[in-house]
Amino acid sequence: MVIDLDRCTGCAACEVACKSENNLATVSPEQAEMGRAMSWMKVISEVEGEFPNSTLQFFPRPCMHCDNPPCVKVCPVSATYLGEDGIVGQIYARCIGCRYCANACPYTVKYFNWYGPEWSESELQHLNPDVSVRPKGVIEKCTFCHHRLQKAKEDARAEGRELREEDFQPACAEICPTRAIIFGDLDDPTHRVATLKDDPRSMRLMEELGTEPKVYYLRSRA
Amino acid sequence: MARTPRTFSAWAGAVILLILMIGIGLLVRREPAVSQPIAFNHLKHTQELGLDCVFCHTYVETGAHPGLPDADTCSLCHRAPLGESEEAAKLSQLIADGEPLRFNKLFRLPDHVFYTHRRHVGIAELDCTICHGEISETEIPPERPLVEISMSFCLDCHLEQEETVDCNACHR
Amino acid sequence: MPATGEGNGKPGLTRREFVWTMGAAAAAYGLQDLPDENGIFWSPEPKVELGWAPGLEEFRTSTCLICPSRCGIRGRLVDGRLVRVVGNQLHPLSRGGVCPRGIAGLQMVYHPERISGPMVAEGARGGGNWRGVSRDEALTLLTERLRASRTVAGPESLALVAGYCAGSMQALWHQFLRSYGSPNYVADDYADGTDCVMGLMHGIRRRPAYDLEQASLVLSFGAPLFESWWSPLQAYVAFGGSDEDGGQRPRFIQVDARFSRTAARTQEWVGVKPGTHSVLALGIAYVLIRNDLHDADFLSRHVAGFEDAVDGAGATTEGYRSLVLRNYRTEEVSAVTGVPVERITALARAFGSSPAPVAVCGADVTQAPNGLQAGMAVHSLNLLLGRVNRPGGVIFGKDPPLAPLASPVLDDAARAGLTSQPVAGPGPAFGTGDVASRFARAVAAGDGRVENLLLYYADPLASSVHPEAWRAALARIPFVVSFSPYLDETTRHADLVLPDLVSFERWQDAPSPASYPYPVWGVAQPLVEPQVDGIATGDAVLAVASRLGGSVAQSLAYPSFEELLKERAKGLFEIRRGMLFASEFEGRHHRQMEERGWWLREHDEFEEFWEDLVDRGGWTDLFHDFTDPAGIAQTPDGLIDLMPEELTRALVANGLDRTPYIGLTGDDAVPPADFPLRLMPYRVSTLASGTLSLERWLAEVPGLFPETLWYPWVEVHPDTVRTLGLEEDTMVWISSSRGRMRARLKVFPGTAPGNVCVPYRLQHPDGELANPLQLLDGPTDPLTGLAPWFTTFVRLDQVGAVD
Repeated sequence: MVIDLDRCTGCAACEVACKSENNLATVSPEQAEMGRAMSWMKVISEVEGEFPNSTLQFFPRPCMHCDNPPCVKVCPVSATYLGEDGIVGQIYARCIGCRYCANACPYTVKYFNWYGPEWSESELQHLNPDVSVRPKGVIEKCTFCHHRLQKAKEDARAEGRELREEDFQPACAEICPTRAIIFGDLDDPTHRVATLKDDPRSMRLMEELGTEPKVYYLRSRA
Repeated sequence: MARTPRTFSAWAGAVILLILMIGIGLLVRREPAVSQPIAFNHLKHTQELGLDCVFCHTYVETGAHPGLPDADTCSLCHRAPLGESEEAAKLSQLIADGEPLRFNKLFRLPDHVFYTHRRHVGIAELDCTICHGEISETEIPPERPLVEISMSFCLDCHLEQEETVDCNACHR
Repeated sequence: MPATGEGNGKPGLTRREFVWTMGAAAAAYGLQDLPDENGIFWSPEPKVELGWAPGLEEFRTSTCLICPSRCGIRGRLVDGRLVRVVGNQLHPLSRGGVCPRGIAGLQMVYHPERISGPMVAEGARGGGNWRGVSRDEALTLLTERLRASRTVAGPESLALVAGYCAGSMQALWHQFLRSYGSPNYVADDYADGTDCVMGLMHGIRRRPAYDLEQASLVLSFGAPLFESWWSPLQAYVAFGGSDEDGGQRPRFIQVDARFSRTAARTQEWVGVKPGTHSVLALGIAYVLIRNDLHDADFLSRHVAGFEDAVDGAGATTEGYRSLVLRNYRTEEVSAVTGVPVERITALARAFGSSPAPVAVCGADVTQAPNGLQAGMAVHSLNLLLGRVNRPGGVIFGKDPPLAPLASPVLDDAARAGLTSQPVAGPGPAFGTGDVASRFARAVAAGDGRVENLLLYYADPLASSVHPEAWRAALARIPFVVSFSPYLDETTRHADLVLPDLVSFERWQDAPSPASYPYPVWGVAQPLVEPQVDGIATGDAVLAVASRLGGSVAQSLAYPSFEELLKERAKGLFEIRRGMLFASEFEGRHHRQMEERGWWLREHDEFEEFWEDLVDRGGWTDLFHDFTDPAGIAQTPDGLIDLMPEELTRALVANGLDRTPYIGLTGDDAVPPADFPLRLMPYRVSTLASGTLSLERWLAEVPGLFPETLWYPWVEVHPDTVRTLGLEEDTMVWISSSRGRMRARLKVFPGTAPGNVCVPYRLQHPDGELANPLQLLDGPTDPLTGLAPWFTTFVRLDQVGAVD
């Protein structure tokens, strides 16, 4: 995934699209105050300088799906792992809620379910049947909408063809009004992301930790 | 240090308790029996009348779940009383009364397993009997699944077929 | 922050539960291949009972009706349930993008607190006791009430308060009121006054469209392009640029008194003192004229009032050029606006030398004192560079050529009613002003004519600048009907509620806002079955009309609102131009064809046309005739007027200096001792057009502060916070001479010291309103009739310390 920060307006469409696509539960206002709100995709902002010389940078922050993920190493039950597609998976049924991974993740993208989700009878109707509703006591995180990948692979196979770039887009990239989020296969030179990752504006978050994140940010140096 | 009888009996008690708990656990774990509103005769419909599975399980090749017939499907044939069986008469009466017909799910998977019939039946063209056994040969609805589907059951087949064993492929 | 720490409250699992769970997990893990179907050991979670539902997926095209932008959407349905809202790539304005409000619109459909069906107040109004009635009973009740009042009190006894209402719903309401005989259409929507500016200067009373996509430089004066503009999506699409032509993107510069999200994310932010946008605009004009960067040819051919004029008697009237050169020297402008001299010069040079610049005028300009002239000052930059009716400039859009409704049939009663004076009384010199407040004040002051009040997407008790006038007015009106789907503040005081179906459930047309240069007619078709026993208001109005009978029924003889839309679409089918929504590529192709005077018929039959139109989302015409002189000005002499005579007359009549632009001196008011801080209300994108903060997903995504969840807040500069002796996250009272509201204090270095910025129309989680507009205490602008937003001073006190 490549995120062009010069195009990001911080509108948070990615954030809400993610919540809708992945059945993210909301917590009560009091719990939210305690930092227990969950947003797999979170628009982080950083303000510098005072009026009238302030600048602000938005960082839409999904899971980085590291090639060397620190969270995987600490999981005692193999509930989180690096899959064959390069997606760092989180298997809720295995997760015992020890939260080691949440502490190990330098990007703080792993969220703990302190409570069971509370959906009213009517709200249950809008849940996406392709994605689990997470129970209390497990860790959850961005999956690059891998349920869509499964579906796309299934469709490609049904039609007897290879997977195309446009077949699989996560919800955030699909909805972004300024097309700031670009998604594809970093290893496939025909995909846009493969070119963009070598752009001079390209950088990754906390690269120095050796996590090898798969999310690249494009940002003009001011 | 010598083990006193007192500690020994405590240990024995603990072991017996554990065995009991496991036993009860296994019993409780057994799926509850599934009963159906109409004692549907698979043998009669699929073997004698030669109906395809897809006739009643409409979405078996296209949907996640195959779908079960409702009163409308049955009424294609059973609107007027048909045959001699008591169940057929019951069904026709149900249709005549405009009562809904809701069969119950027999083969169930946990919520965190994302299985689609489309992928297995529609695309991979697997035979129904692999997972559902000889359901088409039954004359009365079985109360429990004919094949016990466990994760290793799925994985064995996936390994054999050289299909994905990525956790994400089934757990989301 | 994710939930990694223990926090300071009660965790979800106690230590005992946790240990037990771990043990059980370990035991069970070894025992079974597949866990029990009830989830392993956790309490059972709520879930959709899929049963045997086959999981069949379907996408349906529609248009989002939540804000004026009217973006194209597609609903993802699984077994008939709406589970996602995604964008419609074919929609010319939104191009597949959707904002958070549209996505979270799902939570409006399935909201647990939707009104479940029509209901009647029992006992005292506002007492909270309701009796459910059938749709038929409710319609009968309303019809009989309207029939009786029409005969006894006269048709002018009916009034409608309508929030943002465009397209055929607006046409329907007008037709209904006309044929019934009421002159009381009371608009209670967002006005930015730019239509008055255009009316004065161009003789075209219409909000201007900005061709942002083809502009090279967008200089926005306080327009909240990325937040609560007419169409944030239009701005987003232009800002994102096209992927196809090598990533050519316009440069955006934002002039804003507040470090808004727009200011933060456009390429450049120019921070000005509140209310001085227009002074900066004239400062830029000064540099443009001084350096001959203006388009002299355009000015001489199309613009009046630029040069000094000498009349027959030899008296000289000062023109725009002299006026600006005399009054808006860069140093003076710098002192008033707080923008350094070099910055002003650089801005002017950038604007003057860009190939296709455009200056956008926002509500922050026209809501300042002398708002009308301020708007003219900003727009004058477009005139100086000849940026009117040009690609990438200011364009006067056209409405989609729909078939009009049949002309209303008026009986004697209707004719008599229509000649009566509207309750709201005469408007200001220009525009309609704040009709709703005038209406409320007139009723509160004793105009007893109104017997029946209809509320359509209006919640004045929560949104108005004058909620107290509304409270008094409602107490005097015998019968109040609300069409709101939710029990909002004003609906609580209704006698009858006929809940409308929400966006995604009802048929409606959705023309794009005037800010978009091309006519776009989107259609919203229902994506899901109604979740409650409501009735689409369009259908309710038609049903009431039909039951009333007589001329009202004759004027609205449509079986349903859907049929009405279909009838109107025949105008598009017959017009022989435009096209149904299509890809960008097809759109360009179509535009090139029309430029050469060609048009290809796609459909032979209307039915096919209609089906295709609904399926693709709507109709548009991407061809604009840039050679038509009527697109520049429609004044009697065909010239754009920089110094309109009409304005001079109004200025004189109100005892102001007769020369336009001269009153723009900024606001140098000294804060009173009791109220040391300047209040700056603003709209946040997630709530832009002011519906209640109903959707939980949105409550977790507010404005610039990701850490601000759920609670209304006030942004204050760190130095100001220190001076006040307050701390971050303190709940404070914001008090003005008129009233007070609660909000949570947020330290924000982007706010100018001495100012406090308060988002408009948030709500506390317990439902307490937080409406900063009710604190405004400035005098209403005599020319536009609008309340100035930035002239109120307030103070902050810690909640609890002063109660």
